[in-house]
Amino acid sequence: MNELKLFSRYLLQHKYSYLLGIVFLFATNWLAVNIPLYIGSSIDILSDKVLDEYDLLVSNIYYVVGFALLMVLSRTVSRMLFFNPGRLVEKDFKNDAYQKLTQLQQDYYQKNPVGGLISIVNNDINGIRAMAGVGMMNIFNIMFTLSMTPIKMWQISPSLTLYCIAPIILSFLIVNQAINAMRKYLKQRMLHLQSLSSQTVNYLNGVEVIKSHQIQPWVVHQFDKDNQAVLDLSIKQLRIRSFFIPLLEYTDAGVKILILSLGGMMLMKSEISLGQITAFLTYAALFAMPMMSLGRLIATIQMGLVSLKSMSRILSEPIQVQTELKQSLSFEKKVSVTNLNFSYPDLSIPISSSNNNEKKLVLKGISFEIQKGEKVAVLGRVGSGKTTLVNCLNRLNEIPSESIFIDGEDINGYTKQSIRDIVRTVTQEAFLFSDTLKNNVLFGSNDKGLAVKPLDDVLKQSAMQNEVLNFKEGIDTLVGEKGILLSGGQKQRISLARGLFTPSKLLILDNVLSAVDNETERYLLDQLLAFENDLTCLFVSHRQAVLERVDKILLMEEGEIVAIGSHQELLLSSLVYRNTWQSLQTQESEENLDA
Amino acid sequence: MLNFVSLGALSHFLPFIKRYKKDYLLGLLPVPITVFCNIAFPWLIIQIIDQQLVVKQWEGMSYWVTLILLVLICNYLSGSLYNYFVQKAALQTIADIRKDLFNRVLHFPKSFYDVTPMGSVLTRITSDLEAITESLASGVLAMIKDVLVTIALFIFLASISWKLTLITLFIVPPMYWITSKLRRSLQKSQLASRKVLSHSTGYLQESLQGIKTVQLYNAEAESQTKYALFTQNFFKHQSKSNLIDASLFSIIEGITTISIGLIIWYGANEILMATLSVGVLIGFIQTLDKIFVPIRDFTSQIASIQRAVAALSNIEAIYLQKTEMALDDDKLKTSPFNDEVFDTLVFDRVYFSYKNDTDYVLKGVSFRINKGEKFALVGSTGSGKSTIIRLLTKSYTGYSGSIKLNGVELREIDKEALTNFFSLMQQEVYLFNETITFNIALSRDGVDHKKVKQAAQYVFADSFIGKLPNQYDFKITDNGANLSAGQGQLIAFARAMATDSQFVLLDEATSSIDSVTEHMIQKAIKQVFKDKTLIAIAHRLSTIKESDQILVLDKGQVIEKGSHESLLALDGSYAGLVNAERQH
Repeated sequence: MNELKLFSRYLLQHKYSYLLGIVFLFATNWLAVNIPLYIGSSIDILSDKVLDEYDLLVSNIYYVVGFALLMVLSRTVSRMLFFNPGRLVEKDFKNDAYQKLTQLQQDYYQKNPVGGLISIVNNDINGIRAMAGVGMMNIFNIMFTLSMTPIKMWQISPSLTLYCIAPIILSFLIVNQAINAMRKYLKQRMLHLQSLSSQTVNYLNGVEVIKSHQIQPWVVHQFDKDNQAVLDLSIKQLRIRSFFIPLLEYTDAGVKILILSLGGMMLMKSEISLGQITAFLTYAALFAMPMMSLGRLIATIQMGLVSLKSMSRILSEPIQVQTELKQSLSFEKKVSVTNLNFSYPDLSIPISSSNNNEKKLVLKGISFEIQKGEKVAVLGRVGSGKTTLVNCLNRLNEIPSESIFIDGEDINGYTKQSIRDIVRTVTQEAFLFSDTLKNNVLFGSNDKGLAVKPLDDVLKQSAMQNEVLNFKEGIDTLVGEKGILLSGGQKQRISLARGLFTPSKLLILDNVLSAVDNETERYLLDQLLAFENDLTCLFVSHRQAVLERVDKILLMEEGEIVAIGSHQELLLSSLVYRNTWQSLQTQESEENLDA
Repeated sequence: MLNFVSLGALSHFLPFIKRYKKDYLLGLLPVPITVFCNIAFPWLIIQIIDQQLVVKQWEGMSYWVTLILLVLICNYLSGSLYNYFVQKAALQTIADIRKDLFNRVLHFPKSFYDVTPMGSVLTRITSDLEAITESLASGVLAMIKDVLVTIALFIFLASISWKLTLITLFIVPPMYWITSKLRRSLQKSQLASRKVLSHSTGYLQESLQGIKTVQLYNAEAESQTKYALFTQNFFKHQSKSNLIDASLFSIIEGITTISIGLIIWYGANEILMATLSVGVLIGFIQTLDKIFVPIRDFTSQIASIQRAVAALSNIEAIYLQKTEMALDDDKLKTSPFNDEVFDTLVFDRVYFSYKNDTDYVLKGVSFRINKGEKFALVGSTGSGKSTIIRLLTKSYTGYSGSIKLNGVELREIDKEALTNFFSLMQQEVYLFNETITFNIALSRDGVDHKKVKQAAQYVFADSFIGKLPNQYDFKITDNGANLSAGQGQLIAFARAMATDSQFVLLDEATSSIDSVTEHMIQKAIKQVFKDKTLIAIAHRLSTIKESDQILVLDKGQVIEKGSHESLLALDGSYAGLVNAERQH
């Protein structure tokens, strides 16, 4: 199985720890199995009441105490030698999964919701770690105990050994079945509990309606269905826990009786001594313990394999081989897009279906040029393909070859990193991390070797400087989900500052000015459109101020470019643009009234 | 160590416990048998060893063996029955408490929900009760039995050899001290680990949700390094926990073995002087485990008990919170309130604030509305419009001044009596995952299918319902996800209209909706305007114009009152609002 191969690869990295652990486990078990012999011998000395063997008795005691102390040490060390690799394997799996996830592209994330991925990295990892740590330890521990103990018992009396082992194994089988049934009930119970939770949330959301119409009795009746189901399953589990689980413990006691009676018979015939019977009592207990661990070990392995499967799905996901691609892309002259056609890969339609030929093109025959230093705007209604176009330029989308060229080079021949070194996108939804404002702005700028602007400059350019001064901790203020509450406009401007911090050659701003007021918008545009600024900018925007001031506008409709030109040019040449401009003006004036 | 639960808390749970007293008693009956059997077992072993084995006499062995087998079976049965009946009773008690908690919560006033996050209510009903269930399952109740058995065993052992018992007693305190110390540092270490883990998970979640940003800024390597720091940190904490855990386990085993050695060493002397028999020595050694195990498990049980106690006090808070009915109880309920017919509603210098320390939201509001009149409440957010409606439905209480409904003071009217008096039509829609019929009727008395259909027709919902699969039996899911926004709104309207009440309270939606929905809703509202008495929080000019009286509110005060024409003539606030909207 592939999963086991993957697993052993990680395990083998810690082979020395495991090997040493096995040695100490062996030592622990050897000590555990020899102590009863010394105790037994002491009992024999005592029952014969021979005085001059007193010294032997004392040395026996020394052995017992000495072995016990050694056992404390070897047991602790052996557990560490197994548990630590377990945690290291966990760490390695998590890091590797994370690395893979950061490299996977949008098509993967469309298929796999984030919640499920987090569950795998956080929850399934526990199953893997249990297998690598306590599971590995128990495999060897059980192997040693289940072999060494019967051997010692056999050395005392083969027949008595058989009489003891049989009932223990029998009760183990019964108890194991019971544990399996309990696990099944546990799962069912959990499902009902989850349903109870979501029902509670649902009803609490509508509590005012429930109260105002006095329908609490009906609601409580619905709730009680799951409540009773949880109770029933709990009682089923209880039955097993009360009547079956104790069987092992009582079997142990029953075996003691067996040893005393059968062993007693052998004692009468002088086949064994009282001390040996005492030792046997301890061995019986020693044998029962690993039997219980065996049940748990099987469960650990089962769960671990399931977890491995989920994890390996992430780790074996193919990523685009980047090594054959070129690394340093330059943008000194122009970006040219020639006949770009794009459709989203529809993964629900099977390839052989005839529907596939008619895959809906989201971008059709897009062609335009952007000279270095130009400021361009993309305008269009919702769904006209603007953001799709942006995501093609920054290669979040996979595009066909020979569609987008920078300085004459097909961008498909370059690594994504090299493209994103020169193309910076500030997205529509400002995403801030739970970190200081400073770190959010600095995000992605490490180790670039590129000249970095001072933080203050960028904050000034994005109209955030004054506001930051008003924050309690200035640039060290915590923002993001767990940080201070920011308005939409503030978030966008911080996001803009981040985009401006690491210099890029092509700055794409996707609807970034939508949440700021007119005055701030004017200020920001002044910064971005300044003459001495040779930054090439692409604005996705419907704001009048932007359209009036850019060099070129790309007017998009239903995935096609229907007009290219400056604002003045388009007013004269394009009817569509004139109409669009008209409705934009009305919309903006209405918004002003509300403000 | 242990926080003792206040007697008050227990008094809330007593009625639930009493309901199952039969099971509790059935469970407690076997306890003395268990204790007896636990003592009889080692005693019998001692007899077998001393009277048969040591003297190598077979005669009489079968008698002892039969006896000890009986004792074993009795022990098993009594232990299991104790466990089963007591826990079964406890589980049933908890299920009843859970149902009662939920029912109680559904009767809490809105003021409770304003300050209590949903998550905390959910925790009480689910996690807290689960914590109690878990500590039951982990053997808290068994601990009671174990403590009794341990004490009995100690007494027994002391009676057969007080010297050996004394040695055992010397071992117990250090064992307890070591285990509780190690357990405590294990707890600390695990708490720290969990904290690191939650930070690490938070970072993972954020990075995945913002993976686009990470990739667009070429920050993959940077973020991998940061995550690796988290995992490394977690590993360090876990490694420490591992060490403590491993040594805890090993030390306990070691102490048990060493104590056996000590006992043999001391016992040897006694045997040689014939003050102790070999049987007693062996019996002692065999019984040591039975004493040590409960002691070392005691510390982990304490943690479980602490969790359960914390859960109990959380739950008690729910019982201390007064329900709406209890709040009402404080006032006189002598009102002979006639809810069949509406006559008049009079507000007389009403003052109200939501909390004692906040500003008044209503400052001396006065107006009078007679049967058949339509009133519109107009004003900016925070002017007090919604508050007036909330006071009428008794979502909030505690106003000063007078609100008289049909001549009866609102304070003295039972909330229940008002249920079918007002029909509340509002913008927030809540639909149950049930059929349309249910959602309109809500199992209310007197609302049969005929009334449901009438209500649906009244708000013009009947036509679209007729076109749905299964029509009135169409099952709504996810708060109306399988209907359009307008359709959901209309069903909520039908629900409000199903009781035929004469007084309608309408809260118009402010958020912009699509024109189709808007049209549907306006039609329904126009219908309601025809024959009901109405107070509307209005935003549409059309709604306002249709009203008999308009109350213009500003910061809790009525600043203008009159019909549309008379207010326009005033050329005041109202006129200003109307003109501004006209310019749109």
